[in-house]
Amino acid sequence: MNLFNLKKYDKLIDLLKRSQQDFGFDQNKIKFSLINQINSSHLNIKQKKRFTEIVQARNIFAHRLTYVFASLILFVALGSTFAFADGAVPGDKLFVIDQLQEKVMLNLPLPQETKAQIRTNIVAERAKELNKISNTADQDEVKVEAIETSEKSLTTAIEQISQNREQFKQRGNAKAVKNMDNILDRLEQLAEEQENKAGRIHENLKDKKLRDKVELKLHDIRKARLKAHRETNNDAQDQNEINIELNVN
Amino acid sequence: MAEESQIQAWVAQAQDGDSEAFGAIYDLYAAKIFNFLVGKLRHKQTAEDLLHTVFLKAWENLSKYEPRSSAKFSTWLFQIANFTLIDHWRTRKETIEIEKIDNLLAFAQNQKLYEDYEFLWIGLSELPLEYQTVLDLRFKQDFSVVETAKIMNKSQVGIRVLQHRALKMLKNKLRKHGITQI
Repeated sequence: MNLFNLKKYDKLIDLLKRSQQDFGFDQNKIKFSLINQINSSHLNIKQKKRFTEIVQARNIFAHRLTYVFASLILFVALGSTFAFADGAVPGDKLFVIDQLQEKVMLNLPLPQETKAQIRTNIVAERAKELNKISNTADQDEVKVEAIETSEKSLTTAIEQISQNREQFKQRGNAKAVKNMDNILDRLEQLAEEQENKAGRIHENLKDKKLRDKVELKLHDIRKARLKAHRETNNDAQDQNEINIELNVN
Repeated sequence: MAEESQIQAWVAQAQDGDSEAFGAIYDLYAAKIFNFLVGKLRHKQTAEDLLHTVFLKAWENLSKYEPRSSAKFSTWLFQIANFTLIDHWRTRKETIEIEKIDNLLAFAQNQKLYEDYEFLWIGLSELPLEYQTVLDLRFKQDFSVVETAKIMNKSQVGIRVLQHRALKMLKNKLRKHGITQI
């Protein structure tokens, strides 16, 4: 079969071409109906395109604005917890996003006092998550991970805020020192809650390795709690007394 | 027939939402698309309905159309027409009721011409849809092999094979009806 040679069909092809003609139909009626349908649809293409552009631009702007302001306002002024990745707890995939966003927040150029408040709210959030996990999680590993995460946030917060307090004290900023004291009071309370919750989890753990892990974290939480207490009360207790208390517990 | 540059200008305006420009495109191609449809459907009302559907689909998908120097707008439009026809064809019953077939003579613009070539129309109607389509596009609508391949979503070699088979089958059909001088 020679696909390029249509010679033997020349006559037939000629017939086909000569037979071509138009068939009558109501061209205008169909056009009228078509154009009406196009015009009366909710949005024609131009409007739809513009609408889409507006919505996209608004969403991008709103997202950025929401992220920067709403998280700051909610977190700092109201002292409430993150709205991001709602419901995410240690072990969830979204929890990583939570932590990332917390990190970003703390890297923003904010006053030290504001950051101190943010850190406290993070600790409170971890405490809330620990509470939720201890009541709902089936796996002990998840509970232990939650303890580790909350302990880390607590220890980091107390360490950082203590340093800030010291700096404010050296600069003679009494008001800022007072603010730091209030924050450390709150952290001490949170540390106590963490300690109680972690202790209850520890009692119910069957696995020795996990028990040892939690014991270590409990030690760290107590140490952090006492540090917060010492700072705020400006105690004369020296480090030895603190160590004694830690060893007894 | 308007120049391709004018057509592309209307298309661009229509893409921006100009329904009047789209109306101009309709005026240009409606008759050709209708002829393409009615020749196979052999039913005026159905062909008119599908014509409406074709242009509506064209309007809705205009944003996806990108002008190319190697392809005319008509190629894109006929592609939509072909797919619309195929979709409808799948819903047809095996045996068509008599009232669903029109005598094309009734609305042929040139009835004498139709009568002279009625044997050809009958022969064509006995071919599979694909064969009818390739013959229509290649030799009635005068599309090139490249354009026909685009419209039918086949390769150029595929189109050449198809047109060969279609012509062969049509010739055999006509011979069975006593037409031997071709």
